[in-house]
Formats: sequence, structure tokens, C-alpha cells
Amino acid sequence: MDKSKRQFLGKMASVSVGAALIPVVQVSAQGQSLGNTSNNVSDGQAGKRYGMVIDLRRCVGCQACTVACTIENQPPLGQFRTTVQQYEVSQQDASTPPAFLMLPRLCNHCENPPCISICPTGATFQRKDGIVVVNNEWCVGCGYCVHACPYDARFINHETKSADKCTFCAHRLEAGLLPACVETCVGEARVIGDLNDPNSQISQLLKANQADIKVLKPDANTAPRVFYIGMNRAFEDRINGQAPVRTLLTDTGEEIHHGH
Amino acid sequence: MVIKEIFTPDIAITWLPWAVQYFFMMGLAYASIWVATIHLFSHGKRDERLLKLCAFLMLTAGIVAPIALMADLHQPLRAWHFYAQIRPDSWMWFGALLLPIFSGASALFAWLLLRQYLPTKASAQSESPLDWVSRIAQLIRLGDWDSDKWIKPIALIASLSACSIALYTGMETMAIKARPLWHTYWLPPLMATSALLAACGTLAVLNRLLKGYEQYTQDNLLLWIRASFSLFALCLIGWALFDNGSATEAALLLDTSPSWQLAAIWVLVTLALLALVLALRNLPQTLVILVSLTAVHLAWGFRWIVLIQAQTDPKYGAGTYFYQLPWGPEGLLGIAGTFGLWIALMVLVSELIRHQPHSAREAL
Repeated sequence: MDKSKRQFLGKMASVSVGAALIPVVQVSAQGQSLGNTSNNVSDGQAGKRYGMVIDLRRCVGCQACTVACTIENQPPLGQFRTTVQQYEVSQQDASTPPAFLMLPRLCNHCENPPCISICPTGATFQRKDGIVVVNNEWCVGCGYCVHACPYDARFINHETKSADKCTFCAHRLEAGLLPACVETCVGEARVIGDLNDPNSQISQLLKANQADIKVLKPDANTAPRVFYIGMNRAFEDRINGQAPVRTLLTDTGEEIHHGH
Repeated sequence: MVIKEIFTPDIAITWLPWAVQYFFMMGLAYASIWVATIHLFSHGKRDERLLKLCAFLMLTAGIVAPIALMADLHQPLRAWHFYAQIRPDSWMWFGALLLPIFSGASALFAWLLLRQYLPTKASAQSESPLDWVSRIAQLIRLGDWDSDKWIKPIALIASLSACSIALYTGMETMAIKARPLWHTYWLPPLMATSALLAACGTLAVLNRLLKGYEQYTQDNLLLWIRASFSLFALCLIGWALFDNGSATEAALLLDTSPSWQLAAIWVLVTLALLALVLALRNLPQTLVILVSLTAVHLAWGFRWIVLIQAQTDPKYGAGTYFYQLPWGPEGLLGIAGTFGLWIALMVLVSELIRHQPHSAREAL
């Protein structure tokens, strides 16, 4: 290589080596976790198996659960542990008016969670009571579990730089309280309880509505423990429909739009 | 029944462009080890220029790749957590074990191949006693003992390690059932063959760029490009014809998404152009460089589609999600930074190995 070429490459290189090191410096400056996930991760209550039933006939799509969860768990701007997704469903014949379907979404706390086995550090695990949690002080933020979850229930928290998800508000359950989303639901659409106890409200609900109980992606072999009552089969798997105009918030809260 | 999404979230991508850089750089490193090893064990005249270029590439790309990987971790300082427990069900955990072995093996192999270009004690003193680069290069040579007998055994070990990296990087992605585009056994061979294509293309460009151009080496590399391109194209055709999970998902995206249609047109046009030019018997030198650069860009673009664009494919929702390449370190600056670091290393290493070859026998 001649001298001028080497000088040119050297200059280019010195500029971009600096650029390559920026994220490492940023992350180390970020310091320790800012999120509220418990530092003392509990192993759960043995003998219990928590699950949730969501009665879609009672959900009005008010997003009170989304707000309550956000206040309780303080995820960063634009990131959610639970949301209520809204769909317009119309029939082919014009005589039937279109209907709305409100679909609350959260971690399914699967019996066979695909997010756990693939975790390279064991930061995510299932407690004795079935709740799937993340130790965000051990998580390296590789994002592998975010990919593995078929329900998009996980995300990399912009503040803690580690995996984050719904915990069924385990910290509240342990204090004898209901999860924030259940407590705030105006239609009492969300019911949480012990699936191992045949007399619990959730077990009774599942028994009474046996014919109408569905889970999301039943063929994914994940055995979800969030059950839906009153859900059409068309919503079990990936939506075959029209996408909305979506927006995306960047880390700094800037909104990006796009249409389809 | 017609379903319209009224209010649904847009899911941001999790693996950032750093991942593309890692898979690309790692591909260059492990594939150049394969090229060097196959050449070492094949009959015929030993092409020292080809071995030098391979060593140069495996060393520089092999250093940059793990740095890009660390940057893709959102908590890079916690990387030691990988080694604090046993997680045999996680391909990524296996990768964390295999990666340092590969780094060591590839650096050792590269050092053995490049050692003859590092000045001996006598030559360093006679050339210019004040040339500190030469002094450092001489120190890196670690004495004037004969290391030639170690090249072949270390080549075998490094190649096995390269295979382990090709396997783990492919399987790590393939193992994700929730992403139908990734969940195909065609993905690891597609990644490996495109890595070989990229490495051969890069070696041809380096042959032209670095002092000491050899026509014989370029002809040899053109053969490698033809072979690796054919393998990659065959794997792609195999995936399109015989896969019914990933290819079906891709067909679905092609039906509905303009950005996926654009990606498909780009892949097909690049493949067709390359096939057409590579079919020519005699290629002028400028065309060989163009073909090499196109091959490198195809392999990089393939990784972009697989690793970044595939994340815009919703797992539950309709349509596709939105992604806009940010300017900062999590986007364009990260890509530029990785390439810049690579260029810096290439400049540094090329400075150290600019000397005439000195065999051990000559030194003694």
C-alpha cells in the first residue's frame, strides 16, 4: 500500500473507531437498572399456579389496564407490559354492521415457555407458581428471549437495557393485592387466580365456560396460561387482515409514522 | 370476515444493525480460514499470496466481529454472565463458549501464516534501527524459531473452530420458532455459503488493494467466487422450492409488503447479474473487482434482510412493522464504526507485514 493511501485510510479509520466505541461508553454511563423489577427476585409460592382469564365480552377497550400497569410498573415511554388491541370486524354481507373486538394482551406465562430455555444466562425463569420473570440485574440484554416469545410480550426496556415483561404484578400478589390491570378493570374482564385450586374463581370460570375457552397460538406448543372467553377463532393465530397506520416511538420519544 | 387493525402497537426491532456486522465479519473470518486450510491441504503450488490475504482477513475480521457482538448486547459489561452457569439448551450460550476458542485459534493460525512477513532480529536492525513499527513487528514474531510445522495442525483446529462458529451462528437464528422466516434448516447453509462468497470477494478486493498483486491468486479467487456463488444460489433455490415454513412466510410478505417486494427484486437482480457475469469465460480485471464487490454486497444485504428486515415481520399482527435506520450508534454510525475499526486494523496489520518474507531457516 502506498503512503497516501495509508494516510487516507488511517484518517478514516481514526474517525470511525471512535464511533464504534460510543455505545459501550453510553451503556456504562447508563449505570445500574432504573426499572422497578424487584432486586430480590422471589422464587414464588409452591403449590400454586397462577393464570388469568380474560372475558372479552366484558372488555370495553378503555385501556385502564394499560394505564394502571404503566403507573405500577413504570416502563419507559412507548413501551408496555400490557395493551388492549382493537380490531374492527365486519362480515361479508352489508346488512350486518361491523363490530369491534378488544383484545387485551400480556405475557401468557406459558406452561412451556420458549423464552426460558433459550436464555443464555438463565436471567429469565419460571417461579414455582408458574409466573415467568426476568432478573434484570443478571440479564445481558441480548434480546434472544424477545425473539423467542411468539406473543411479542417481551421487549428490551430502554432504561434498564434488559428484557422486560408482565410479571402478573408478582410483587402485588405476594402482598395479597391483585395485579394493577385486574384491580383497575372496569368491566371485571380480567380474573387472576390459582389454577391448582378447583374452588378458585378462575377455575370455576374456566369450568363454566369450557366450550368457549381459547388461547393465543394454540399450535405453538407453549401451553399459555392466559385464557380468553368470547374470542373468535380468527384471532387465535396471526391476524389475517388489514394493518393500521402504525407509529413508532424512538428512544427519545420522537414519533415515526408510516402507512400501508 | 374482514378484520381491520384499529389500534395495535408497532414492535421495534431488538437485534440492531450491530448483529448484521457481527454475522458479516464473523463470516469473513471463518470462511477465510476455510479457504486457507483447503488451499494448504490441496495439491499443487502453494499460493503464498492467497495464504497471506486469508491470514490478513481472518485476523482483522476476527477481531472486529466480537466487538460488534458486544455492542449488540444491551448490557455489554455483563458479558461475563454467559460463563457463570451452564445453559445447554441455548445455542447462544454455546456460542459464548465457542467464540473465545475461535478468536484464539484464528489469531494463532493468522500469526503462523503471517510470521514469515515479520522482520527477523537481524533484518530489523539492518533495515532501519529507528523504525519502531519494524521493532514491534519483530517482537510480534516472537523469536526466529521454525514454526512451519505447526501451520497444518493449527489450520485443522482453526477450521474445526470455524465450522463450530458457522454452525452456532446459523442454528442460533434458526432455533427461533416464533420467527417462521428464520425457522428453517436452510438458514445455516445459506449463512455459511454467503459468508464464503463474501470472504472470496473480499480477498479478491484485498489482492488488488494491498501491495503485491498476484494475477495467479486473482484467478484462483475467481474460481472460489464462482464455486461459492453456485453453492449459495443452489441453497437459495433449495430453500425456495423445498421449504414450507420460512418460504411460505416469505411468499406471504411478498404479496403484501412493498419493502419485501423491493428486497426480493434486489436479491433476484443481483443474483442474475452475478450469474451472467460469472458465466463469462474471460473477465477483465476491473470486472473481477466489480463482481467481488457485488458478491460482498449481496452477502451483507442477505444478512440485513435475514436479521433486520425479518424483525419487521409481525408475529401476531397484520402487515409489517416499521423500521427506520437511526443515524446514531444503534444505526448508521454503528455500521460505519465497525467498518472503520476494520479499516484501522487492516492499516495497522498491513504496516506490520509489509516486509519481505523471512523464513526461519534464513533467519538462523
